[in-house]
Amino acid sequence: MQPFQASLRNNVTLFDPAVADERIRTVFAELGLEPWLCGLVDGLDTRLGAGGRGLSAGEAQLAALARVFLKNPGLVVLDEASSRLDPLTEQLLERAVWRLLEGRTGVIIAHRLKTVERADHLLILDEGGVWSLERGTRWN
Amino acid sequence: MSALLVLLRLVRFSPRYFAACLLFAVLLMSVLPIPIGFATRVLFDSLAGEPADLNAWSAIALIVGAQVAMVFVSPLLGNPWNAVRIKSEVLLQRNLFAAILGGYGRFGLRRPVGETLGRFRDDPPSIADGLDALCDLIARTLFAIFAGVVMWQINPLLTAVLFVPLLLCSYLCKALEHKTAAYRAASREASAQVSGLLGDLISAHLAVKVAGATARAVGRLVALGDARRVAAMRDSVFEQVLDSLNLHIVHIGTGLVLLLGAQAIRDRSFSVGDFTLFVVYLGELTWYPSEIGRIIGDLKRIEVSFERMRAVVPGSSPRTLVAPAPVYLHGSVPELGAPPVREPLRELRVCGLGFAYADGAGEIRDMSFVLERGSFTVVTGRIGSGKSTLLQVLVGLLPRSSGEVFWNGQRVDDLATFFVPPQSAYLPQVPRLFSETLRENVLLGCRADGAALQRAVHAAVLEPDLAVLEHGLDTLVGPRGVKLSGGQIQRAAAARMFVRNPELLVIDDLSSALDAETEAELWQRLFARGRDVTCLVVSHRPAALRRADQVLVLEGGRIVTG
Repeated sequence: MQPFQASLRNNVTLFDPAVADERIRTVFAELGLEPWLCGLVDGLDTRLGAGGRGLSAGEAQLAALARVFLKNPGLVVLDEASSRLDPLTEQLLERAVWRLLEGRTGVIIAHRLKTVERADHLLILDEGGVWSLERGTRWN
Repeated sequence: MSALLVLLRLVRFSPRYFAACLLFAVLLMSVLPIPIGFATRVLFDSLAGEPADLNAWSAIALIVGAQVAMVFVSPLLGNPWNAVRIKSEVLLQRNLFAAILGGYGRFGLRRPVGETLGRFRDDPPSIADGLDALCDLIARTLFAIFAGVVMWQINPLLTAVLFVPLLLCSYLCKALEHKTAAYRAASREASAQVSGLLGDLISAHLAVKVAGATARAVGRLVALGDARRVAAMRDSVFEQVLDSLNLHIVHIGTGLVLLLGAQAIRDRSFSVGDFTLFVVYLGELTWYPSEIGRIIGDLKRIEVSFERMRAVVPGSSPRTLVAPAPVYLHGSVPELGAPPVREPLRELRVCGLGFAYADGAGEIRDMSFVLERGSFTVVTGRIGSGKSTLLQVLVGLLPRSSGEVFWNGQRVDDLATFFVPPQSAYLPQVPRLFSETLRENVLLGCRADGAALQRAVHAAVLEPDLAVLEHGLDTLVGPRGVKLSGGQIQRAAAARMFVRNPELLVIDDLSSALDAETEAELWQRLFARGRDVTCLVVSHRPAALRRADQVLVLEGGRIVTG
């Protein structure tokens, strides 16, 4: 995720004035980013982008997830969302992702089997062909 | 640095072209109008029956001759002026770019890319135009002095009446120059906001579209555009009002001269010919109040433009922006020089390296470690622990605030200019490719033969992708070419790194866009190169950690275990 040179709020809500600050804070808390947010002097008004505060790659990925949460979609498509995180934060993200997917349809593109432990349906792409496996089948 | 000083340095940079400009300007605006005044006086005096030096027909011939000469001289001014303008603009742009490249490690890039490009585009022409104004000013002043002397000899009172409003306007403009500068700066700033956001939206357009936020983002851009419109309007209107003021004060002055002159004509102390000479010269002198205000305003705007250019790389001396450098106006650009001499690595020692952003965030402190030749060091830790920051500070992409780095026991003063190939190569987490062929993106000006290129491509596990691309290495990639996947971009950038055969590889999480299999293959091939390359790598992957000679665990900006 590349931050715009705008406030943190605008970066996460994508310039939507209708989203309340409370909702943003709740989402941040669910993602485990609350301590980070409290650490920022200007809070949600912190300017991001060049000339302002940068985001580490991991923080950027979590912020991108916050965008998805705030949009509240019915279908979520994730492209290996945890590839840039250390193992501890990856767990945090995993928990948040599964919370997000509750009551929603999700399509996750993953390179690691660990990511899809809880999937209902698995599609494997190999040499132009597609293999489909249902939950319950043993796979290695 | 004051505007005049900047302009003088630019004049010194192109002395002969500027002298040619000045010569033609003086000819056009000083020398040729003078005989026109005299000839007109003679003509009207002889028509009125007064005693004159020449007859009427000679006077007419003189007027026509001078005007024709002006017609021919005028276009000649164009050629040296273009040379002066282009040389000045290119020099400023070249020096600004050199300052960015040289000062990046110490000061960083303070402004977003879109805005910085705007400074390259708008500010040098603004400054170069000042030379035109300078040329005109010198030429017109010479004329004003001469005309003033001639008119004073004819009738001192009228001359004084004429010059008073001229001087009044000039004073008015000087008094208002702060306002001029303020409006111009505000207008430029509003413009920069628009180009900054536009740059951001273009690079993040996918994210915006996917989130369905296009309408809102465009709305935001429109709002900024409105703000720019208001600021630009304000600047423009103020400029126009000032100009208009100048013009009207001159008309009032002219009116006064007419009133007082009529009296003097009746008294026979002021002939018709004298009056027409005054009118002709007045026509040339009205340039002064209308243009002097603009010139003073321009000087202020030149200062603003210069400051904006300097603000791109703060801390650099103003002289560096106007320092002479080759701009190759004629002929072709010379070949690039030889690459820097390679100094083989025996030991890299880092002591107490530290950095923090202005607000204290993202801080790293007391980074100390040693890299032996051929060793593989892995840096790991939670997000925000400072891993990428450490690497960027080491290679000079971020300005260090403390600490020393020793290469083979010798202290490195400027990290940014030292940690480049062949000493070291850096692979960021999000590499960038340019709108060029894949081959040019990998080589990026490096002189390497086909075999070296193939080795680099092999080491980066790029062959399977090349087989799929229609033109292989000659495929056009980047923003205007084929859209490569994240993994392909990262491996292309890795090939870019390998083809330079550096002593030290600094890699920031190579595996973030690669699947497990490709990544394992890449490490395999990297380790197969043997012990002649030293690596400093950010990674969490077991494959890398297992092979590490040294693991640095970071937390909260410090090394917790070495």
